[in-house]
Amino acid sequence: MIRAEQLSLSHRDGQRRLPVYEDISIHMKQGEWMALTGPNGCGKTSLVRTFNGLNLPDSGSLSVAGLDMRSPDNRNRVKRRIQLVFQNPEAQTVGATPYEDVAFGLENRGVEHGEMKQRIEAVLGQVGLAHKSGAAVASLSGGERQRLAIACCLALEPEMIIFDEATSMLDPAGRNDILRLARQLWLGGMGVLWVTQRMEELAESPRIGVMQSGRLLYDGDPRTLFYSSSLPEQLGWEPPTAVRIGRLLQAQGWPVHLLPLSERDLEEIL
Amino acid sequence: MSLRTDHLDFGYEAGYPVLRDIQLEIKDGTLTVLCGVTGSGKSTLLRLLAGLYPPAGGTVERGTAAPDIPSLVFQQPETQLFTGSVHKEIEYGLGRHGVPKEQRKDLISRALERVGLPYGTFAERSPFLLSGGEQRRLCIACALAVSPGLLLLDEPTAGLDPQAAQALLQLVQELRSSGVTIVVSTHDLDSFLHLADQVIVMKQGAVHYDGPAAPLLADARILSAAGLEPPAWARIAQRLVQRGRLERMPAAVEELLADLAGQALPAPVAEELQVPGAAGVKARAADPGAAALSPSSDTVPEPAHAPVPTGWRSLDPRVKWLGMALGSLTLLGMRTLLPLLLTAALIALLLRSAGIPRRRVLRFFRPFVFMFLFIWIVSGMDWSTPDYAWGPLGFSLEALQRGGLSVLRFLLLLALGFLFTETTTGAPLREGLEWAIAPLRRLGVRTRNWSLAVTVTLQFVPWILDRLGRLQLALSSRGPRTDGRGHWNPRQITMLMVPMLIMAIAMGDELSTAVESRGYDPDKPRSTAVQLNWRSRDTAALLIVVLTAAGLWWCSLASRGWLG
Repeated sequence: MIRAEQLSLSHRDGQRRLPVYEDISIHMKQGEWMALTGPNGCGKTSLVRTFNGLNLPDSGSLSVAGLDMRSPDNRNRVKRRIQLVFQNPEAQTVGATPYEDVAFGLENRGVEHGEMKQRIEAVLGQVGLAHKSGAAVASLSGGERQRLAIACCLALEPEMIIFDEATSMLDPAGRNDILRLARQLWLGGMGVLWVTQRMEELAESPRIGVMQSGRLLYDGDPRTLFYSSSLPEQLGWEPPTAVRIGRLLQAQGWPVHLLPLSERDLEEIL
Repeated sequence: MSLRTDHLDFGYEAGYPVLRDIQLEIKDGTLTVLCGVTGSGKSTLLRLLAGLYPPAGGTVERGTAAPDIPSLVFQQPETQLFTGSVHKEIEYGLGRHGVPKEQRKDLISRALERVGLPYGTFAERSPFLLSGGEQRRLCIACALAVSPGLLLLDEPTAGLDPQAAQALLQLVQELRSSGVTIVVSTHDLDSFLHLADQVIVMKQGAVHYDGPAAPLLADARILSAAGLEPPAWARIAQRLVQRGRLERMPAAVEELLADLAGQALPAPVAEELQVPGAAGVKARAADPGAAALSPSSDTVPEPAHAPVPTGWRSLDPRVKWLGMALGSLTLLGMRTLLPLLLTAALIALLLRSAGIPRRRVLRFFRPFVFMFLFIWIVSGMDWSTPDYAWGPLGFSLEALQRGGLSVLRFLLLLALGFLFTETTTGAPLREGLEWAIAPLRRLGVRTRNWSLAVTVTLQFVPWILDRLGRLQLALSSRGPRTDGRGHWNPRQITMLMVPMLIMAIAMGDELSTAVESRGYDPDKPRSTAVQLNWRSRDTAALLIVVLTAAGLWWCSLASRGWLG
């Protein structure tokens, strides 16, 4: 799905060049779930925006869904295959109602009126907003707005959705709601790149990428990251409680493959 | 500073109470955690405690501690930073509180020291260019500089990365041990609950629980009744206690770990146990317990209640366009009072029948009324041959009349525009607009982009008003306004405009990225989701519009005496 080789991007600041990200190589298969993390300003947002053609890297090669991203036409075409849900729920609605908002992307692609209506109703139903299809966007909660953003992505029938800290401005209820919806889509075969700073979400992801100052420090499974590397300490993370308990077990001689990553794991073994 | 509230009630609008019968007592030097789901009234309560809103009923009593100033730090740093440098940012509040100039620098550097931003490095930097965590600290420094007896923090860790959030937590603990009374409103119970001396759980505008943290941690039902979840470590500890693996409920995650470390937990024989999570997240999410996932399953969807426009509001936008255009032309030709009054009556009737709330109408017209009144008075001034003289000011009757008519004409033009945008929104507005400017397409103008830009801009008017409201609240929380009448002086207005512009630009940037990210297909012409549909009632309405305009036109000519 994504083949990135030695991607680098930098911004010009007067005489200097400030690296945004450097030497990033990532391969993602179709239908994979990967979590990407790193502190604010580490380059994760710029990187994931490169994947759907919003940014152009300075060097390296990138092919997404078989499209070579050097060509401007492909950078436009890729948006049909990979869609992005942004962080700020207020800054991604174009329409005055959910119906019009989903319509926007379809209008841009010249989808015919009857088909458009069908598709809009289907995706609004899929994210649980069918009953609010004609409501004013301003009356939606933050969580509902993010669900609407997901519906807008789904209407374009992508193969992968990138969630760029899509839950960081929501309350806990909204956060769980969006995470569940993303998981549901993933189970249905959608590829998901889940950008997050929450440790529990990382620990429960089958694959994790860790970025720091523009570099990809780690790309692998959660068990190795939390139990067999010194990276969490180096980065000053506070691991989730389940992992902290798991480390006690590890100290008592438990093998790594039995150690818990989530509350549910912990419940199974204790 | 201690704090007591007695039967506190509050609502932003009559008939919609936000807070009901709040009885609280907060002791001096304690850390109180205020929690509740979104919309439970936490932020509003903080604003009342800070004295920013007057209660509708009941009282807030503050203790007698010497500097009796509560300071509130709002949720978003971008709505509460106003000036060009960190030094000036803090100095503003000190100035408002009447601190003499020579003492200010000392207080500023001490406040910055306390939040971990050294004066030498940060004083001259721009608040707008600091990182999120640094901005949060600066906001706290602004609050601390006036040495408040009470520090109120609204969601201090929201939007920070884990490291910055940890550091902020540390800061709150340090302030608490240095004797500052702190109230923190937060969703982040994992970070704050175990630090609290007192926890207040809000539910639907009332106090659901008020007391120490321990009972909340031991019994998840109290929090879950308010729609909240205990911290992850407390959930784990509860289960361990239930199964007899722990003797008592620990008070914090460290205690839980220490208790567990003391126990021997032998590793199971490999075959005895299923490898946790071996089947991956997929299996877990497929579990029916975890997978009762459909967002609509937990909330019963309300029946479809899209506000269907009724009456003349539902007319084709093109009729409304033509009505506005004809009306405006007719208005511009009016030179006498009678047709203008008739038009005013007609517009008033339309405003009423469109069902636009009176408050909205007043809010829209209020600034114009004052401005136009001023213009009218100025236009009536005459020094050479005044009909009335009032001191050095002279007014001419004829000039007053002429000015009055022009002012009324413009007011009515504005009212027509207001009527149009209030009764036509979103896609119909865009399609109507595009239809009206379609002839420009022949000149190579991209009409679609223009109509899209106009509709998106109109949609952001409420957003801008909301942000402006927040900025004003944040500025007034820094200290009293210049005069008692609640007006801002020109310097303060400039201070409000800078962050407003920065926010608007940031918003525009994010929005355009989102629009670009949706993409388009260059090979196909655009289609439309909303198709305009001209019905016979639209023709009838158009006929009425034309006849009315003709009637008013005739009236305007007749009253000028041209037909007499």
